[in-house]
Amino acid sequence: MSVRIEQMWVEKYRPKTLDELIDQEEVVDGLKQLLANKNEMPHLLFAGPPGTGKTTTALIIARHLYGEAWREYTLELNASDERGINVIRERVKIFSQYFTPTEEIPFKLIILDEADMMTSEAQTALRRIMEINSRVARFILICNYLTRIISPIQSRCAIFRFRGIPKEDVIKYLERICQNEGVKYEEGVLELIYDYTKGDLRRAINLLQSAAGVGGGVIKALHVEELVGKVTPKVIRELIEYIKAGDFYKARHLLFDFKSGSGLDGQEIIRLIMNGLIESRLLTPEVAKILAEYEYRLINGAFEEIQLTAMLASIMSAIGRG
Amino acid sequence: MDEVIGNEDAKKKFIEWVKRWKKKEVEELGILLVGPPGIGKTSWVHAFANTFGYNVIETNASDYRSQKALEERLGHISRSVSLDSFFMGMHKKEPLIFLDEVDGLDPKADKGAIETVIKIAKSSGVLTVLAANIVDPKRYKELLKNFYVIEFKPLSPRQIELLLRKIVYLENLDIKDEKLREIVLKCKGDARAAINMLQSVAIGISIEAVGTTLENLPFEVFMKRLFEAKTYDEVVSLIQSNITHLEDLIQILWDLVSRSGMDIKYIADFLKELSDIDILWSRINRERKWGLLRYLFNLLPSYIYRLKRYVTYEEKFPEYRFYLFVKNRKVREQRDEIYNLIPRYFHVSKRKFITEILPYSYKLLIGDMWRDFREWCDRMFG
Repeated sequence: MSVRIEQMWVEKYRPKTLDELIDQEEVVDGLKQLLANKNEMPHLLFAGPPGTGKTTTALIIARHLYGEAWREYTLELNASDERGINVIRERVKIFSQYFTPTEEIPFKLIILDEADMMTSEAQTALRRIMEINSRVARFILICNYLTRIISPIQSRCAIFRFRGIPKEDVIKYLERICQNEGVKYEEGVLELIYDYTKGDLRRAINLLQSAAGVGGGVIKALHVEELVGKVTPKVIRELIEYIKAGDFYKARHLLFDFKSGSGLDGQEIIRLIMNGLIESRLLTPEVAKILAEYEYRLINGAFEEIQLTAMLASIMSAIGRG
Repeated sequence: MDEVIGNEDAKKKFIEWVKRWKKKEVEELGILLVGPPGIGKTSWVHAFANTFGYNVIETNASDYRSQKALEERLGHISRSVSLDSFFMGMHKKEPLIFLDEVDGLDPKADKGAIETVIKIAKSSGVLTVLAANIVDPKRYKELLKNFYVIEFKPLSPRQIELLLRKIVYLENLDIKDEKLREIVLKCKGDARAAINMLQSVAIGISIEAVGTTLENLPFEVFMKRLFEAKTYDEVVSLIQSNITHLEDLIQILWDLVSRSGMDIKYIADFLKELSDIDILWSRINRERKWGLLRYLFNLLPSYIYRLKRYVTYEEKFPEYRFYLFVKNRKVREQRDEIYNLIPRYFHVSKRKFITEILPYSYKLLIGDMWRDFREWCDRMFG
C-alpha cells in the first residue's frame, strides 16, 4: 500500500463509533434508536454541509452492522464518479446478487455519496433500484442539499440533518490532534483555521496538517494564510497568467496537460477556471457569458478538448479587447 | 420469391436440385452459389426459404473461420434435426444452413474449416447452401467436388433500373431520371451498391462523390489533396468521398487552427465555428441522424477553403494526442491505479480528491511507486 493513508490525519482521526462523533447529538440519538434492532433499519438519508460527519456516520453504521468484516457487505458508490445511473444499477445488481439474508446479516449496505449530483431522472431510476433490491439491501444516501433529492426518495428514507460543527468543538478536536501528534501551534491559529473553514471539519484538519507540514512541526498563522491563499491550484493560476499575457500556445498546452493528467471532465475544469478568473478579477459579464455558452456546448459536443480550446481563445480574445 | 430480380435460370436450377435432393436422387451434399457481390444470392436464399418453408440458419464464414467455431455454431443442428423429424410436417420448419462468404476461408490458414463444412453437410442431413464470390478451382477442389455449383450473374442495366424505380416509387423519393441512369451505369450490375448509391443521393450527397466512395484515400493523401485542391468543388467531392476520415479531419483542423499562430481573434472565430461543427458531428453520431451529414458537407468545405488562406497543411503529430498517448500516458495509468484506491481509503469522490485533497497533500500521499504522477502533481500544484 503506497498511498500513505495512515499519515492522513483526516483518516487517522475519523471517529469509529457513534459516541466519538462530535456535536451531532440529535442524529446520534435518533440513530441509536433505529439501530437497536438492526433487522428493522430503514433506508437512511443524510443531508448537511461538507465535513460534518455524514460519510463518517455511514461508515460507523457499516461497522456496527457487520463488525470488522464490514467491507465485505458494504458497497461505497459516489454519484459523481459513476457514469450514469446504468453503471450504478449494474454495480448494485452485481453486489446484491447471490446474497441470501440471514438472521445475522439481514441485508447488505449500499452507501451512495453525493446523491444530489444526480439528475431527477436518474433519481427516479434510483428509486426503482431501491425498491427492487429492498429485500437484500439498505441504502444510505448522502447529500449536501436535501431539496435536490426528489420527494419520492425522501419519503422512503429516514432523514437525518447534519449541521455545521460549532467553533468550540472544531477547536477542541484540532487541539486533540495536535497533542496526539506532538505538534505545537501559535496562539490563535486554531481559531484562524476555523474562520477559514467554518464548520467543515475535513477542510480544517487538512489545513492543519498542511500547515504543520510547511512549518516543520509548528503551526503558524503565516503559513495557514499562505495555504488558504492557494485555494485555486497553481495550474489554474498559471493558466490565468497565460490568458492575461495572451499566450494562447502555452495556455493550451497547460490545459491539455492538466486535463489529460487529472481526468477531470470539461465542466469541472470550466468551474475551476471560473474560480481563477474571479480571483484575478477578470470575470466580466462578457467572459461569464462565454463560460456559460461553452459549458452548454461542451455538453452537446463530441469532443471536450475542442470546446475547451475554443473557449480559451474566446476568453483571450475578449480580455485582449477589454 | 418473385421479388428477387434476374438470374432466372439459376433460380430454376436451384429449385430443381432441391426437389431431387429431397428424393435423394443427387450425389452432391448441397449447393454452392457463385457470383459477384450484391446480385441477390443471399436475398434469393431467404426468399426461397420463405416460400418453401425453411428456417435459415445463417452464418458468415468470415466470422467463424476455425473448425471449432463452425462446429459450435452448426454442429448441434444435425442432432436437433433427428429430434425435429418427430414433429416434421407439424409446425416445425425444416432448417436450412446458409454459409456465406466461404471463399473467405483459407484452405491452408483455416485448415479443417472446409472439411468441417463438408462433414456437417454430410452428417446433418440438412439442406446446406454455401455462397462465394470467386472460387479458385485448385484451392477449393474439395468444395467443388461435393457441392452443386450454381452461378449467379450481374444484373443487366435494365433490371437495375427497374429495381431503382420501384424503390423511388415506394419511398416516394424525388430523384431525376438522369441521376438514376447515372447510378445504373456506375453500379456495374451490383444491386446492393445501386441501392446504397440511391440512398446517398436521396440524402443529398452528390453523385460524383458517390462514384468515388470506393476510393477512400489514406488519411495523409486525403489531407494533402484537400489543401492542394484548386477548386471548391474539388474540396466538396473529396470530403464526401472519404466519410470515414471525418472525425480525424475535424481533429486535425482543430490542431491546425490552434497552432497556426494567427491573431487570437481569428483563432477564436475559427475555433468557434469548429465548435459548431463538433456539435453537429456529435448529433449525427449520437442520434444517428445521417441525414444531417449534408450540412456537414457544406460547412466543412467552406471552412477548409477559408482556412487555406491562413494556414498550410503540414503532417504533424497533433498536440492533444501527444498529451494523451506520449507525455501523460504513464501519469494516466498511475492516476487510475490511485483512483481505484480512493473510495476504499478516502471515502470521497475522485473529483473532490483531485480538487480538494491532492493539491495540498500529494507530497505526503504519493510514494515513489508513482513517480510520474507525482511529477505531474509538482507541475500542477507544486
